[in-house]
Amino acid sequence: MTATLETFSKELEAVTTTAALRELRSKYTGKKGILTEQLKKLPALAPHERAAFGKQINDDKVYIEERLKEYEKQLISKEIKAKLSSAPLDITLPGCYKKPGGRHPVTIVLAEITDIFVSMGFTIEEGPEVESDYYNFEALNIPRNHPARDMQDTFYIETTDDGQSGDNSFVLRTHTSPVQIRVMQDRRPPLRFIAPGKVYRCDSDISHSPMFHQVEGLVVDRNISFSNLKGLLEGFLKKVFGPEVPVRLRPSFFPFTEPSAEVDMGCYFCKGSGCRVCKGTGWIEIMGAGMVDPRVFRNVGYDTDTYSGFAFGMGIERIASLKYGIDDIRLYYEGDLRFLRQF
Amino acid sequence: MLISYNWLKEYIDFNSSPEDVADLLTMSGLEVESYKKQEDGDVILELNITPNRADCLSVTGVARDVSAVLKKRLILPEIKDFYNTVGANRFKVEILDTNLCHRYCGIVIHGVKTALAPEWMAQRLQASGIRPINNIVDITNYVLMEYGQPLHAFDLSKLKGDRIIVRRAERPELITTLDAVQRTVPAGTLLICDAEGPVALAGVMGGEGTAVTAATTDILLESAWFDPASIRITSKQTALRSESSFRFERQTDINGVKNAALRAASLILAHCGGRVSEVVDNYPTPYSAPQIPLSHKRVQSFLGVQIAEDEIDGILSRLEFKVERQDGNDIVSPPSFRSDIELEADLIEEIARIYGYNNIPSVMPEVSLAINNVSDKHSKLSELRQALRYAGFTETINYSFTTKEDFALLDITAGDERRNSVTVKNPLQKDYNILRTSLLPSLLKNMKYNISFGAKEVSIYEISTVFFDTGKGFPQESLKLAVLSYSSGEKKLYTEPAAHFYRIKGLLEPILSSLRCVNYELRQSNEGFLENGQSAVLLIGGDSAGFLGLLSSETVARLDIKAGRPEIGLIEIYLDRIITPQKVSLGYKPFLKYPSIERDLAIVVNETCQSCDIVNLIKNELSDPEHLIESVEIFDHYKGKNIPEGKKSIAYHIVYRSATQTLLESEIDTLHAEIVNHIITKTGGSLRA
Repeated sequence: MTATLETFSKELEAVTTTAALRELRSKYTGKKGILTEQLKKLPALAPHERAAFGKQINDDKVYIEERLKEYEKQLISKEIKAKLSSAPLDITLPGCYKKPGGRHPVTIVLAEITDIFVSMGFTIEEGPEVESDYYNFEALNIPRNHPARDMQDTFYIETTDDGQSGDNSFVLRTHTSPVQIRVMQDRRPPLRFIAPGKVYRCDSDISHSPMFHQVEGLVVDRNISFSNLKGLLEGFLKKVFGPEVPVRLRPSFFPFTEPSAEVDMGCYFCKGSGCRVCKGTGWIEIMGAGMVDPRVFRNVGYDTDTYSGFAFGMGIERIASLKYGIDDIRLYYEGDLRFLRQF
Repeated sequence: MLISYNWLKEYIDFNSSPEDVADLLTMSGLEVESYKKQEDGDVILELNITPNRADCLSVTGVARDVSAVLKKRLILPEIKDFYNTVGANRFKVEILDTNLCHRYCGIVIHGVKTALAPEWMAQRLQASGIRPINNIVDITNYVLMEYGQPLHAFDLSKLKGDRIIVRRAERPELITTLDAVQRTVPAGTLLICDAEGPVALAGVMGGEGTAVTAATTDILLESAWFDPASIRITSKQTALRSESSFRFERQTDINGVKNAALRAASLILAHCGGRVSEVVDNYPTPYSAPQIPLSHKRVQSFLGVQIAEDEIDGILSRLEFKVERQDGNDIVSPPSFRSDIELEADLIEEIARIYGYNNIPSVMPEVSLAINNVSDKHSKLSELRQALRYAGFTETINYSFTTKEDFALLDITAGDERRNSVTVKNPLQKDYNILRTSLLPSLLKNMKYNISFGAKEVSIYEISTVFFDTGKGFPQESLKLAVLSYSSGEKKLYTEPAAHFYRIKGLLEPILSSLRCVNYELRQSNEGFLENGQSAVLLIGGDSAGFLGLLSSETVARLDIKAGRPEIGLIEIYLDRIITPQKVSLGYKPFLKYPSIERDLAIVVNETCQSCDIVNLIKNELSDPEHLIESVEIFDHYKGKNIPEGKKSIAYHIVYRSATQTLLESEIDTLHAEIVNHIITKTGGSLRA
């Protein structure tokens, strides 16, 4: 190492600011810098010494410039850091963005159910919320003056020309089952659909709401059996509540299915040992289901020798309440952000 | 229905514990909702009997099902007929309407002594939820619980003319029922009458005048079969529900009518004394059992399980169905107490429930795939919800019911379509008797509710159906979206990027474009409840599809919100006018490769001049045959210092580009100057210095 470089190195070590670095740079490589001055001595040298001398100066220059450049980078980043740390942002202030709103638990559960059935090739169908007596009851084998009408407390709609025969009367649909009739009137089998929507019952307390949501399902094809109904519903409930959840079907009664079944699942809270939610039975009623009653098929003109099918229906709020541990159904309809923002 | 475990055990020999019986009943279709241990060691089961199982509305009926499941013999009390009755043919039963009354059996008993019923009987009645009264009435109730056949006892001395006439009311008729209420029943009501007039509402309640009292010594015991629908109508019309009407409207066992009467008579003789003087059994409409063909193969394919033929027949026989083999299949006649069994499917259910649903395997259906005509409505709605969510809005769902006060709140005047609401006949709350035509009142209520808990900001929306009365037939249902954004006006950490109206508008515009709604227009709105000049109507194809804007200060004042400067932004649109099934094809347009030239333009115009009008002047009014104007974007809108009163400055950024060549600055200078001149001429404005 030349003497020049040795001095340079010592001087560089002493530099702490970019300003001092700039000075050092001009001291060595500037127009009147040390290296430039040394170069001026070149003509005075003997010709055979010139090449070696010139190369030496050039090497020094390259070396010095490289060291300076490298050191400058370090200094700059040091200085930026120093500057930033002397006037830092309060990084704990919240970011500037719109906090996402809450999703309604009914919508979440409905979307989950819809996804499961759509993944199995089901379509989504709809029907009106104000239904005629025919679609809501008669076509579903719930005749006028039959005690089965007591199973659902019904809201009736006032019609302008009152006093007309009851057949034209309208109700707020008490279930999503009328959509079965509407779709079957419109299309031929095979059918595979769900029909989600609002339904209404004239009843209100901590576990009953005058309005709530149901999902209806219908499968009609050749060779559909009760064992298929069991298979599909068990699969569905295990998908929603986990693969370990026990599921059982027990005989029940719905006028539009025969055989009919109530679908129970093992209590989500006590795992079957018995608690307040399952009234000590270890089981929770979760849906109604059954094979489509031939009287219903007859009402829509389906051949009962060729086709069979099953239908099922479930309450969304009930499933949401079990999933999220919601113990008062009114919470769904109060619009309370303290509740809704949790979802 | 409440039922005693010990009583049940009397009819069937089994060792199952109450818990096991409860489970067995639940799993065979008679759901046990609860069971309670009694002090005397008995257990009371609470059964939920579905409307089709009238045969199980009695202890012996339930016992019959248990015996079928357990394959144990049913042991019923012995029924004794009274053949040598004295004074026969004195008492007459005339059935004038044999459609509504298929059978009427009367037993005349003389010389009874009314007293308290025996302790064991009173206890069983109490356990079944029936209040003991006196031995005669209690025995009729006991047999009702035992066999499911309602009975009634008349004080014979108070029946005029030694006769019972079963007929319909010809005109509205008066009767005072056991509950001491005088009632007028409409014409057509089935009545039990004596020679002078009504003595009971058939199947529903007896009359007060002929009731059994402490002084009664002679009685007529009634056991009959009435038409279910007729009893149900009377029960509804009179708002009277009794243990009797409950069973009659579900259909009782016509072949059990006389047996129940005889059983009651035996019990009366044993516990109240007296003698049977006459048994009248008028049975004009005999029962005939349906013959239902049943294919074993169909049972197996319908249930998806190989049940042996003998097992099928065995189950049906245990349920007292008559089974005859014919050409390898069955002809099945159900017993008279199973009026719910009409079709093969009904038989299959019986087989399945006794076989046990748990014993049927679970197998996924095998189906044929099909291409479905799926609407994209649901995916669009979930996109919409997602967009609103990330804009900070929370979804609410409100009841469809509302009150007419909504109209006043929003100044919705007569003639407005939103007044054509649908009315509910039997609302839960008297005033909440109409269905919503607008979602906004619900959102305003949600807002106030949250403010009452201290919310300073409320950003909510709802997507729900609204209903319009069409005057005839089905109401018209529409899907609406309503959005509400409330801010209390208090200082916040970061300032809002724009005035409230523009934030609301900025919410709506991307929603519309994500729903592929492009051909819309916003015009000044004249909704009474929106702030004039800060609201707009959304027009699609010239028709209104909703509105947006700020709630008018008068309406805000009416809401009585305790806040400094409350501001409420609102949107309400008809989603079904926006989400239409028509497909909009998205085409790709290649970008132009030649460089652009950009020019800014700031102009001072009257305050009333609208930004879109100026854009219109630039884009559509000038001749630009080569389509050199690529885009016009507003980048500044300013009123205040350096701008004269009543004026404002608007600045636009214009991009020029040719599809075929590199533009020359000079060409654009000419076009740009033309634009400036045009705007100045049309608006009377001037370039901003």
